[in-house]
Parts: sequence; structure tokens; C-alpha cells
Amino acid sequence: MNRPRRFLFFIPVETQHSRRTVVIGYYSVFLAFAVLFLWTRGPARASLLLPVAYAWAALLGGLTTGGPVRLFSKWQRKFKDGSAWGIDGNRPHPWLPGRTMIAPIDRLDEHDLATRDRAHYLAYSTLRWPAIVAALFSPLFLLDASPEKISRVLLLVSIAVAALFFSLPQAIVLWTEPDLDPDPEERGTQTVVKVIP
Amino acid sequence: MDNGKSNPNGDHLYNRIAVLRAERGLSRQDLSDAINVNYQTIGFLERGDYAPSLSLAFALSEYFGLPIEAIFSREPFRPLSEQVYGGNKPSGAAQ
Repeated sequence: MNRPRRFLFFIPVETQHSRRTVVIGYYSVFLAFAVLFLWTRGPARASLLLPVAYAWAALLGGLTTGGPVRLFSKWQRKFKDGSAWGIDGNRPHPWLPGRTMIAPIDRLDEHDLATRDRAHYLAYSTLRWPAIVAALFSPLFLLDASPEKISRVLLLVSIAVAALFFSLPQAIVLWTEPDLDPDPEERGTQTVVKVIP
Repeated sequence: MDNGKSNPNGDHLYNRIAVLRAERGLSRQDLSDAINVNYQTIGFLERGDYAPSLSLAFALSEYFGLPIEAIFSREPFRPLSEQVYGGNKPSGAAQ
């Protein structure tokens, strides 16, 4: 049985290598945002980067829950051939007549839920350390910083928040998902031995 | 293939899902459709990367028509051939 191919941002993500490449590319763009931000002069221009960074964050992480990664996605469009990266549900598409939406998040099995929970736990238990460090050292920084410097740092922190808090669990799932051995049944290569009486 | 790896509790759980599936000519997708899980979950179970809940273990047991202890074990399974023939050499085998 042919399974649907998996895509993320129109990039095939069948292998762990490709999934990790997507993650590296995704965070490289955030790094580019941060570098651009540091080079940009004037608070107005710099602040323009913030909505762009949040829009980029929403690509993988979604703005609330969700995003395109199956374990986090609330609703996905069902493809024409009935396939999708998820398990079928039934819900009419809000603006495309004849199309249905699938609700993979409602049909996650126990392994999916365990994987998603582990990714959330790992992400937020990791992010607590930079948060603690920032909380401890920010008073020292604020004592003699100019308002302009403070506003720039706050914007930089906002980009970091967009990059990490929104998308880290999704990135962890993509990064850690192992490749499964090919199923001989799917390749049609299983040897069937006939016993002749 | 009888696989088993450590689960988060440090226990080992071995299973015969891959053998049973191959025996019945089922793909991972066929089995996952039958017990209503994602096809990847079947792969992770077979590799021993994931220890199933009691509910999923019962679902597999009912689907294969076997007791749970025939599918899952805390000890490595003996090869099926050894279990079937009990370690006896078939007649006519070289001494």
C-alpha cells in the first residue's frame, strides 16, 4: 500500500536527514533576522523585523497551537487523492467546496501523544535555563542602560521568543523522529513460499 | 524479529509483532488500520522503541487471536522454530 509522501514547506521530509535540514534552515533564517536586526539603524526599521520574525515563527510553530507538523496540527486540508500527512477525519472545508479537512490532532494515537508530550517537556525544560539567567541578570543590565538600548534588547529578545517558544517542540519532533526500516510488505519484496504437497 | 529495548522505566519489553505480521502477509499500514493507530507506531513497536499501553496490547492480542504473553515478553523470545520443535532434531538430520 502506498503511503502519502510527507512534505513540509513543499520540501519532502521522508528521511531524518531531510527533516533535520529543514530545522537547520528554519533556525538559520532566525539567525539572519537577528544579524539584520543588529545591523539595522533606527528603531522603526528594527521593529519592522519583529512581525516578520513572528510570521516566520508561525510557519513551523503556529501562532497558537498548531503548525504544519502533524502531531501539533489542528486542521489540515485533505488532498485530492484522499491522502494527507495524518489520519482522516471529516469536516467540510470552510471556503473550498467539495474539500474536507482532516483533524490529525484529534486522531493522534498513544505513541503520537507521548511523542508530543515529550517534545513539549524537553523544549520547555530546556528554555527555563535561559529564562532564569535572563531574570537574574536583567536588573544589572537595566541599571545603566539607555532607553534606546533597552528597547533594542527587548526587540531582540522578542525575536528569540518567537524563534524558540513557538517552534521548539515542533523542531524537536522533526529532529528526533528516527527513520523506520522499510517495510518489506510495502515494497512487495516479501518472499512467499508455496508448499507443494 | 523479536525486538526489545529499554522503555523510560528501564524495563525491557520484547515483542513478536514483526514476525506475526509477516506470517499473515500484512503491511504496517494494514495492521495500523486494523487497530486504529498510525503506521509509524507499528514500526516503533516492532523496533522496541515504544512500549504499548495495556489497551493497545489487548488490541493487538485480539487482532492476532493470541494471548498477550505470546506477543509481548519481558524475556527475549526463543526462536519460533525452537519453540515449535522443542529443540528436537528432526528425523533424518545429521548426527
